[in-house]
Amino acid sequence: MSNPMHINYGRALMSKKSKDMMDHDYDDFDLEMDEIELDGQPLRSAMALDIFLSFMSILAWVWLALMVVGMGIALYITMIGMIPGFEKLADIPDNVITIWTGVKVIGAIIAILVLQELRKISKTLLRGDPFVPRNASRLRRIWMTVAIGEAVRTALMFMVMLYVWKLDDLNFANSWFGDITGLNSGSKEIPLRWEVWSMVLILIVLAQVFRQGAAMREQEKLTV
Amino acid sequence: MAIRVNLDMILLEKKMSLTELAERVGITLANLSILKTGKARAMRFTTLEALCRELECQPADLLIYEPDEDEAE
Repeated sequence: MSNPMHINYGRALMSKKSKDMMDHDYDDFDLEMDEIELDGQPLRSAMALDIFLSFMSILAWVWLALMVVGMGIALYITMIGMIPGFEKLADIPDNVITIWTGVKVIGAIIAILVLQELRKISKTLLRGDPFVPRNASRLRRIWMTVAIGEAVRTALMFMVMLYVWKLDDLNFANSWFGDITGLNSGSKEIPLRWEVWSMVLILIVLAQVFRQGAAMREQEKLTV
Repeated sequence: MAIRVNLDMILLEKKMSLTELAERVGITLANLSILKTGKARAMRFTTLEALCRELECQPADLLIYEPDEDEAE
């Protein structure tokens, strides 16, 4: 038929109207776009994505907990003293390890924030109508979160670098710490991660495209 | 919108309810309400065709141009 999308009333609208009004007028009812429910089978891939994202956010929370514990240990070593079993950390400067665990905590928080937005987008996918303005602003929030987080990370890691560069006698060459932080390479660079920044660029463009697409979809909803 | 869809009058004439029309035309009640309350931005020719067929009228009977400023209705 002419109408490809089968739209019916949301439950919220139904409750506003008493049953005996059903056959009469709908003059005074206000159409809320978000209350329109589209019935169509949600795609299997959308359901799989939703489950996967839920799983990932659980992982992110576990990761955050681990990193907070790690930062706590680092702070304890810095402020109070060595914990038995962590002697390996002794050859790393205190503030370096604290900042580094702080970077990890920030990374986990960003992952959680991004995953939250992604899950909300995924919910609209499940509903069968993802092209809504709210999703456009969610995409914008995602790239802003990633960009701010990456800027903070770069600044903190740069602080670590500066500190390490000043200490000539500090040798990370044989240390596990040098490996995982990338301080072993020895080259003096600002720790910019181009892959992250190009991802931010892609997200910016996608968010803009999505905003226009959502606006077009809004128009289409009012075409009968 | 200066263009109004004159559904009320025709429905009264034909003694047909909005629900009945929706069923006959194959448009959901929600979409028909959008049309009737003047919230619609555009109308497909297929919709117009179906409405004219079921209401036995011409497009000119359905669409009214009112060049006034207040869009109360």
